[in-house]
Amino acid sequence: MPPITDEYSAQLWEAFRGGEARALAALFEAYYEALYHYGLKLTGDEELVKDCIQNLFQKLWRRREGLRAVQVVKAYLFKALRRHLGDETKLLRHRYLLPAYSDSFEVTYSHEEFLIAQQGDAEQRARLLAALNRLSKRQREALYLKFFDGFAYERIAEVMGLNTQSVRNLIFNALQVLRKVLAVVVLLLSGLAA
Amino acid sequence: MNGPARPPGGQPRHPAAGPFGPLLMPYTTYSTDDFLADESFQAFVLGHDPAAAQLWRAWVAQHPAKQAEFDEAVALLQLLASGYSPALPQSLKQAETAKLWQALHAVPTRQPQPRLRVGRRARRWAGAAVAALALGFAGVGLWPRTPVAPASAWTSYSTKAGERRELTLPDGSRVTLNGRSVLRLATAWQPGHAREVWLAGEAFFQVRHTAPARLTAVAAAPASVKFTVHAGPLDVAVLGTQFDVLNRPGRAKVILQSGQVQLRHQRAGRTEALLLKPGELAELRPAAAAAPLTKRPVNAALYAAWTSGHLDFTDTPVSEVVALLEDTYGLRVTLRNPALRQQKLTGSVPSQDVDVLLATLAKSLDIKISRTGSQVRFD
Repeated sequence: MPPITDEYSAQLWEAFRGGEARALAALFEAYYEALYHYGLKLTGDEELVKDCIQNLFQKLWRRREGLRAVQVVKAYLFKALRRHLGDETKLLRHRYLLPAYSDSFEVTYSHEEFLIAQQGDAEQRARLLAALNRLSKRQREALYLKFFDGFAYERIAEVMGLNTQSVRNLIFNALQVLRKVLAVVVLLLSGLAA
Repeated sequence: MNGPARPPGGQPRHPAAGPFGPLLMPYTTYSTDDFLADESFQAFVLGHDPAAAQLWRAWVAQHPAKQAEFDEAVALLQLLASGYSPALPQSLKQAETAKLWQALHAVPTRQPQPRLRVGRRARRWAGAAVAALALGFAGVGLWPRTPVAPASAWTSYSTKAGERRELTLPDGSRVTLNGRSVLRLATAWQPGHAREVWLAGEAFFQVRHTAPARLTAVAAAPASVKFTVHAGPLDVAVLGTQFDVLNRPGRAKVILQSGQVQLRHQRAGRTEALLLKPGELAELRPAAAAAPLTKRPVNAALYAAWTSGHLDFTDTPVSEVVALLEDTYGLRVTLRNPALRQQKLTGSVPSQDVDVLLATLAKSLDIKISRTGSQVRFD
């Protein structure tokens, strides 16, 4: 399914606030995969993610009359899911008497996500993964939102509850680290591209 | 220094987002890192903005001195943009969409009252449950994970120590609640919807089978015909059967009389599942790191005996009685004479008061039984 535009999502959102169940279902279908993968990145728990997304949309429906217009529906949904998963994770930790929950999620990258067959060999991929997974948790999450979901800095800030300048700094520093680590690979690739 | 693209004066040297303005934007001073973090540049490489792509290509053609930095940035961004999430099975999305669709139509379209945030309310309820029942982690589990009905539409039943209570649920299923227990459920159950209850303490369930008769495997059944007991860290799903659930601080057990039970346990982001057959007892030991959920065969009838207030023994080996004392009364039993385990008992013993029970056992076995707190010695 092709991604839907922010404008169209905003229209669906308005229709849903007006009581159109179909509009909410359309938003659910449009963003389900992106929300699921983001949730899985954050928690690694498929059942929890499924429950939280389901719960989130059912709650939106019940509360629709108290909701406001939103600019970027996808960012709103990501932020809401993130908060929801945070609450649930806290509860689970409490239940099992685990140490108090730290404020950020542990995003890790896996090999399946970078099967860049035509662009590099396994060694390069391993190097990229190792470099990515050595970044700070927030850097990893910000990069994920940037490169897997194509969010603008301002929206990443909204989702993660940071200010835009902090997100800009996180990504600037992360990309700088990656550039240094991958200098060899990148030179090789740019040589091929030229 | 922390942060991108700041000139010596300390002011950002470019506006936050860049519709292209080569005169205003000193791209000629850009390093590879500046290109990398520039949103307009990213949009060009990621293919989000065809107009930006054209302008960037024209720009670099005019500034061959920046070609190397430009190419390096393009290559790294392309590498990152090559990442993708594995495809989601269509069946999963279809099932979830159907579930949402059902929920959107189940909830009446009116109902304007604002709702509390789930997170906040969950904490409040959890706190109340812990304080009132002192049930440890079991108390937290009382909170429904997916509350669909409004808060006012919940009913709860509770019992004091030593009290026993029989209930009939909206679907006709019967529940016997043991002492110091709480059962919570939505007041109104809609036909064709998942049946769910939340238990802290112990209860014996006789669940009505609402699925078509051919459907007997609980794991394969749709949620609409399942009956689920949420017992703290354990979810117990059945179709129609008789079983006992015990959810006390630090221990959770399920004993199946007949039919089939599916157990699910979530811990640290992982879900464990276990299928029980009649006569099996499943036990959750949260402290056991490797396999906290285990099962073993027991004399299941004994475990339901508390519902009638007395235990009926028919050639029952002492070993089974000891297991029962440990499992449901939370006692630790030591036998001075291991051969005693093989001895058999026949008769009826009151089960409500553990001291009366132990005294009766001592008399019929003709041994001395002493208890200190939860430690019991058969001498």
